[in-house]
This record gives sequence, structure tokens and C-alpha cells, in this order.
Amino acid sequence: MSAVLSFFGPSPPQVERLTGGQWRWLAVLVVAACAPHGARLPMPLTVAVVALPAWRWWNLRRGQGRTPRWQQVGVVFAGLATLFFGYPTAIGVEPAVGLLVLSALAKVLEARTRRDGLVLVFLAYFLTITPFLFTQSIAAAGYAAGLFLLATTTLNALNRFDAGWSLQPLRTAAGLAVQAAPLMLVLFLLFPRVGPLWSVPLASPVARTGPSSTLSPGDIAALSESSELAFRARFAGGDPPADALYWRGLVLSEFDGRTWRRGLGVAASMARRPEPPEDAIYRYQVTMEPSARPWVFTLDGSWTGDPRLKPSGSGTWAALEPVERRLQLDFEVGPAQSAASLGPVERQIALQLPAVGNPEARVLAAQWRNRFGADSGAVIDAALRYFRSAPFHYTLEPGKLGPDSMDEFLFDSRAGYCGHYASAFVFLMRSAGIPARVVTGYQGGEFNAVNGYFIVREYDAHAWAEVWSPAQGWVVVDPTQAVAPERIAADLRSRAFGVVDEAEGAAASLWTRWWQRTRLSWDAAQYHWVRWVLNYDLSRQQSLFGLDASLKSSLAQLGRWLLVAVLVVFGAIALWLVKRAPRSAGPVQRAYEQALAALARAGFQRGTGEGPQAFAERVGAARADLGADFAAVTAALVAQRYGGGTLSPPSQSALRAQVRALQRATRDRF
Amino acid sequence: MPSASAERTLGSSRREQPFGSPAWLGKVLHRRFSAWLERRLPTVGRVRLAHRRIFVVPSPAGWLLGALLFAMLIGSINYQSSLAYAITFWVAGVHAVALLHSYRNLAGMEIVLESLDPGFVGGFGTVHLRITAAAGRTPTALRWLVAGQEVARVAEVGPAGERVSLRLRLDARGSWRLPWLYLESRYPLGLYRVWSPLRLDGALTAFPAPRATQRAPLATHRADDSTNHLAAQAADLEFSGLRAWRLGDTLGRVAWRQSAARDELLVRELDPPLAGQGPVWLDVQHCEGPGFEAALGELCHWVLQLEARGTPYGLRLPSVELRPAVGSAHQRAALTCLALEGRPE
Repeated sequence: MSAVLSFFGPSPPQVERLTGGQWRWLAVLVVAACAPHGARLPMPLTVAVVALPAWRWWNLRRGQGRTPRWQQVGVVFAGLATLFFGYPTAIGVEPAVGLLVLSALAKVLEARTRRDGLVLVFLAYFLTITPFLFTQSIAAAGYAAGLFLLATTTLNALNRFDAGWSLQPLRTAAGLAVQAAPLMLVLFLLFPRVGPLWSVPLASPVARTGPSSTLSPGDIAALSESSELAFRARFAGGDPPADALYWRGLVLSEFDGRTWRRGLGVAASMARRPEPPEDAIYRYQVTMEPSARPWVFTLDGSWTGDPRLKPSGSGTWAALEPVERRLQLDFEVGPAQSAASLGPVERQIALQLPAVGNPEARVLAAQWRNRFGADSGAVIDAALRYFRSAPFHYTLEPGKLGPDSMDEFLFDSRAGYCGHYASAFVFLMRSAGIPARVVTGYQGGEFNAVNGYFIVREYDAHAWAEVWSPAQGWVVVDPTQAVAPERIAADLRSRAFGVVDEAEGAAASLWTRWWQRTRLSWDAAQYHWVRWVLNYDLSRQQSLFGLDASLKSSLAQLGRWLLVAVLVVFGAIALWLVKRAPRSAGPVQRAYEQALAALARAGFQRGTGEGPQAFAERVGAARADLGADFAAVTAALVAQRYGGGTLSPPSQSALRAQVRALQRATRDRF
Repeated sequence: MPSASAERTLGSSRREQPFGSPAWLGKVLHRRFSAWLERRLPTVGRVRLAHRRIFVVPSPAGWLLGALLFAMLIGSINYQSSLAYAITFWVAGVHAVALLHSYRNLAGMEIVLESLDPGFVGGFGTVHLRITAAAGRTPTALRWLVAGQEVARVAEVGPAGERVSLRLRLDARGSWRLPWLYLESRYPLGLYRVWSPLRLDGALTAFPAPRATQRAPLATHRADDSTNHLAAQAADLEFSGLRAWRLGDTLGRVAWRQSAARDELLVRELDPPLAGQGPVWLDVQHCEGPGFEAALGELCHWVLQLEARGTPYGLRLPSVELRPAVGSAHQRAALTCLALEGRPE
């Protein structure tokens, strides 16, 4: 039975101690695998990521191969306590990752044998993909690829018998990784990208500066400008007019004296569902960054059939669930529709104001109404003129305002950002009897000429007004533009379209231009990264491979193709690796084979079991003219095969000469 | 060297198992399996490892990584992360490519049986092999297993080849056909166990375990051999002491004078002759030991002793007789006779 067992079963378990070289790879691997989570872990665990492997290393160097049991147990309990008190909830992605990191660190303390090393490498493979819960940047992907290579290197080092440390495992692992890349590519492209199998907890999103669902300018002392990416938009079928780049997110209709809310306006405007345009003048695709909020930012009059979105009132759209992952959304915009009439409820909501408060503003509005009567255009002009002529200035740090915030802003402080101007303007309009509302979202964006799309960042966040005109419907009025046109118009020209003013262009140094170009190229790379790598999903597979629209048949098609492609690619690698004729043994072997072929022409065959030396002697005895040359070739072969030496170039050329002499001699005879 | 029959293989169990018991079943399966392996991979003296001889199965680590890959795939699906998919597929690709490399590590290697060193029962016999890698390849991390036990390791086979010596334990006297030698490798990543069972054409001789005795089992007078008769021989032996008479001591060796002074019979103890002294005959019939095997052990001991002293010795066994001589070839012949005495060939 023993032979059968040894044939099929594993060979007997052997406790193989980790060597110094293997330890070196393992220690680096564990630190590298845990490091990306360092900043997210509770502080003591962050320290432990470096401290524990270093401690173990130090102990090993001192000859202490085994960590005492009480120390191991102590570290595990301390780690668990850190996790328990470090996170508000026990369930979630962060505590789970923390637990994984802790188990890797505990294993480092315990590890002694090759088997422990294997477990650590497998943990590292798993840890490699965990940073993608939090970030999907190109840098994160590069780091993960490096980590994968390091884990494979360590696995190779664990399966060598040589005790020393060398870079040989790294070379072997790199070779394996390169050969595995075609398989990875095929699997990546063809593996059917089905939806989540069950719902999983997601990483807690980081708070962002994007528009919130309310606007209360008087309560915010300062607004930070973040250059974080909000979304990218690519237009197809015609560029939009520059002044149309108002990305509408939320329409705020209800005002309580301090804060603008969406309020009842949503319900009222929901009655009017948007309809697909009959023919689109332009289409565009928005790639949203995760914001943890449902708002989606669209141009006026946009329509989409995307099932993940729903109309959110007043022509805006919102995701069914808060945007936790990058979303790619397609919209189309039809020709401006003729103005429908404003219903009585909608009208009432668009004129709503608190009963009291801000008396001075109301008086100013009443003056304009008295002067211009029903001419709403004249009232709007008067208001914009007021903003322009009075000493208003644009600032991101306006300071807080008192209870009558509109009055204080309009007649006293006269400093604020877009939210102040938009809300004051709408307040004035409503006081003058003109239906108006506040809209928040983003305005403009940076045009990336490298790839032809707009980059919209957090500092493009904006608030503006929409005023009802019986002739045109809702019309955008941007009071901020009256005060700080450079914020709107200049930005629209330079930032949005990459056109630099001529005066500015002359001043712009080569360095500035180079820097701008590099920045845009890098952003373009990121855009394609998002579009082709991160957002590669079933719909993209369907369009790329021309699959049927139905889920079932595209899955079946993908499955078949995947099977065939994997077999073909694997077969090709196998042929290349295994079946490929072994590389020629080098010049000596080649020379010997040529010499044998020449001798075969002269009628000499090396017998089976006849050693090279014996054959050379036989040839020498029969043909003295061939004997000397062949003896030299044979000597070179024997020297290389059994002496292990390599041939110097001069003796190589001598070898070639001897072979040529043999070939001549045998050819002459016949 | 005499070739042994298929039944006589080193390490094979000679115990009879009850019919139908698991052990019996195992024995039957083993016999069937050995027969199949025997047909598939006939005995040879020089082997080139080709696909026919190489077996590959995932190792426990390979299965574990497979399970881990499944978990990683589920994670990638549930979190809809393209990058996690990519890394998962890359690890899967490496798993698959490692299969080819594992096979490649053994494929094309040539193994030649160079020589065999016999040994004594209870000790080791040694198999000397020479491994040569296929051109351009460097087989790495090889293990040699016999009956599930690791007997040798090779860190790397260089371009000039490697010599390997496998020490095999010898449990019983005789000429033992070489057992299945398993060349195993888990290189490069330990995810696959690749191995090649080799039945090399050769036999290891197990000499009887030497059994030290006080008195050499020297032959007494034989009618057909006048040169070796007792008197001549006794004169050559040195007197070394007295001991109590035992059954089997001849009357000629009794020390009458000393015995008379005591109440018991004493016999003269004789040491074997010193170097250069005349030939002696070692005879199985004059051994002390209980049983035939012990007697052979005794003879083995004295063959070694006499050879070391340079005294020519002959060997008389039930089935064979070696004329007296001395020298390593003669010793080898004598030990081999002892090993094979009574064993079917």
C-alpha cells in the first residue's frame, strides 16, 4: 500500500523551517500588503504594520525562532480591542479589512515553517485586492500589480531549496506574470460581468464639497475650493453653446427666510414627466465620481432612458440610490421646447416667500414693480444693474449674516459667493411678483483638448437663478455674472475651452503651457482608465463584441467565447513553453551534431551505448585524416558536459574550423 | 549481478493479510497498481523523462489557492470592481501557467543509474544516479522519495548535470530489485505536485548483518582436502586463553593439564591466524548461532575479520563453496554468496 500512497497521496508532512532568505521576502511582503490600509486603520494598528514584522525580524536575528505564546495572544487581543474601539460599527468594510491586516500580522509572529509562509502569501494575494474598496486610481492599480508580483516572488522563494537570498525568485515570478498576462486579458475581457450576487456593505464615502440639498448662504462663513473631480462629460453630435453649460443638480423653491429647500416644488413639478426628445441636437455622456448623494448633473432639457435614474422634478435627474460607484450616464438634449404655461400650484410655489423678514429688500422690489409694471424683463435688468452698480464683490469667505440675511447682504455686507447672489436675486424677483427659483449644480468646466471632454471639479460648483418668462419658459439668470464676470465668462472662455487670452498667452511661459498640457494628458489618461477599465461591464461587453441585448443569451455567448479563448491562449502558451524544442545546447553541442552528420556521410555511426570518447577513438583508428579534428570536437563536448566550463570565443572559432574541416573531408571523398 | 524476480522488491511486505480485510484490499490494489505501472513504465537503466512518465496533480496549496481565487472572484463580482477582477484573473493565470512550468521542471531530464553500493542488513544500500537537464533548462528543487520517505534533495541541476546518491534502508538479506524511485518537484510555486516514478534496472545486495562471536566457525577435517586438516590448521592458530567446555568443542582442544587442576573441563581458545598465515575455511556447520540466519551473520563477521587481517579464507555454504583467497573481489564474492544463500534467484 505504501507505494500506492506515495503515488497518489501527498508526501509525508515535513516541518520545513523558513530560511533567512525566505523570511526577508515574507517580511517585505507583509508590510507592503498592509501598508495601503495604513492611513485607514486605527492608529495603533498602523504602527503595528511596521513594528510587528520588524520586531519578529529582530527576534529572528537574535536567534529566537519562536514568539512566546503569551505575546502572540496579547497582540491578537490588543489588535481586536483596537478594532473594536477604533470603529463605530463592527460590521462594515473597514473593520473587515482591519481584521485581515491583524490576522496577517499575527501570522507573522507565529510563522516558523514553510506552511506558515504559504498562508501569509495567500493572505497577501487577498489583501492585494482590498484597497480597491476605497480607491480605483491608476496608482492604486500599479501598486496592486507590484504587490501581486512580490507575493508571487515570495511564493517562488518558498519553493526553492537554496538557503541564501537572491533576486532569482523575482526574475522567475516576473516571467510567470508576463506569461500569465494574456490569460488575464482574455478573462478580463470575456468573463461575463454579472451584477452583484448579493448586497454587500460598502466603504463609508468620504464627505465631499458638492452641492447639498439645501442652500443657506447666511450660515456659511467660508467655502473651500476643492479641485476634486466631480464628473467628466463628453459631447457627441455637436458641442453645446457655451452659455448652456449650466449643469443643473437641484432646484430649490422653498424659502423660510434663511434656507432654500426643494420643498413642495418637487411634488408639483413631478406631475410633468420629461419626455424623450424627438430628435436630439446633441448627446453627451457624464462619468460621475462617487458622491454618496443621488444628485446627477445635467444640462437643461436632458433626457435619458437609464434605468438607474429617475426624473427628480423641474427637469432634473437623480439616481435611484446614492452614487457609491462611478456611473456612466448617457443623455440627449432636444431642441428648446415652446414654453408651456405655469400651473397655478407651480406658480404659487415659485412666488412663495416667508410672511415677514427682509423688509428693505421687499421695498426695493416693490419700487421696481411699480416702475416697470408687468415687464419682467425690465425688472430683471434692474436687479442685475443693481448688482453691477452697487459695490458688491465676490468672495468665498463672506462671513455669517444676521437674521435678515437678504437685507444685510444687499445693503450692508455686499460680499458673498454665488449662493448669496442667487438667493438674493430670487428673493427680489419673488418680492416683485416674478416666479423664480434657485438652481444649484456646476457651471462650466475645464475643456480637455487632448480628448475633447469637459472636466468638472468641485470648485465649479455654482448656484444661479431661473426666472419664469411667459414667452420663453424658465430662463437662466446668473446674478453672479453681473458681479464677477471673470468667474463665469472668463472661465467659460479660458478654462472651459482651453483658449488662453492673447495677452495671457504671451505672458504664459513655455513652462506653464507644458504644465497645462501634461495635466490635461494625465487627466485624459485617467478618463480612458475610467471609461475602458473601471467601467468595463456587461453593456460594454455587449457593444464591444456585438452580443444580443438579452442578458441570458449574452451570458451564454460570453461563456462560450471565454472557454474557447482560454483554451486557445493556454494551448498557445503551453506549446511555446513545453513543446518548443529545447533550445540548442549552445555552440559545442551544435558543433558536435554537425560533426556527427559529417561523419555519417563517411559511413560512421555512433552505436547505441557507445560513449563519445570510444566513438572518437574508433573514428581515429579507421580514418586518421578525420581523427584529429573529431577528437578535438569530442574533447570540447566532453569538457563542457562533464567539466561544466564554458568555451572562450577563440576556442569557439577553432571549433568551427575543425567542424568545417570535417565537413570538407567527408564531402571530398564522395 | 544477479537479477531478482518481480516479487522480491525492497520494502515489500511479506506478511499475509486476512482475505477481504482493508489491508488485504490495499495489498491487492497495490499489486494491481504495481503491475499497471510496470507495464506502463518498464524497467530501464537510463531514463529520459517524457510526458508518459510525468504525473501532475494540484498540491494542497494549489487547491487552497483555487479556493482563495473563488473567494476573490465572488468579492470582485459583489463589489463590481474591475481592478479586483484584473488581479484575480492574473493570479488565476499564474496558477495555470505554473502548471506548465511544473511539468517543464521535470520534462526532458535524463537519469542514468551509475552504480549501486551494497550494504548490510540494518544499514543502507546506496544508489548513485546522474541527472542531466534538457538543454537550456534548469530543473530546480527536486526531491527523491522512496516509499513515501524523502531520501535526497537537489537544489538545482546545473548545465553539467548533478550526481545524486540515494541511501535505501536494507531490511532483509538478499538481492533486492530497486524499488520505485519517485522524483518529485513542486517548483516553481508549490501549487502542483509533479512526479515521475522510476524503476531503474538494478539490484541492491543486502549482506547479512555481521554477528560477532568469540570463535571463528572454522571447518574441521575433510577427507577430500588433505591440506586443510585439523592438525595443520590448529597449529596455525594462536592460543589466546581458556574457557569452559561447551557442547561441540572437540576433545583435541581440551586443555587437560589445566582442567585437572580444576573441577571442570577447560578448552583452549584460539584466535584466527595473523596476516600471512595459511588459508582457513569458514563453514556454516561450525557456527554457534541459533538458526541459519544467525550463522550467516557469524560467517559475515568472520569474512570481514579475516579480510581485515589478510588471512586467506574459503567459504563453505550448503549450496556453494568458495576456495580460499583474500582481497576485495574475493570478499565481495563471499559476502554476495552469504547474501544470496538460500534465496531464489
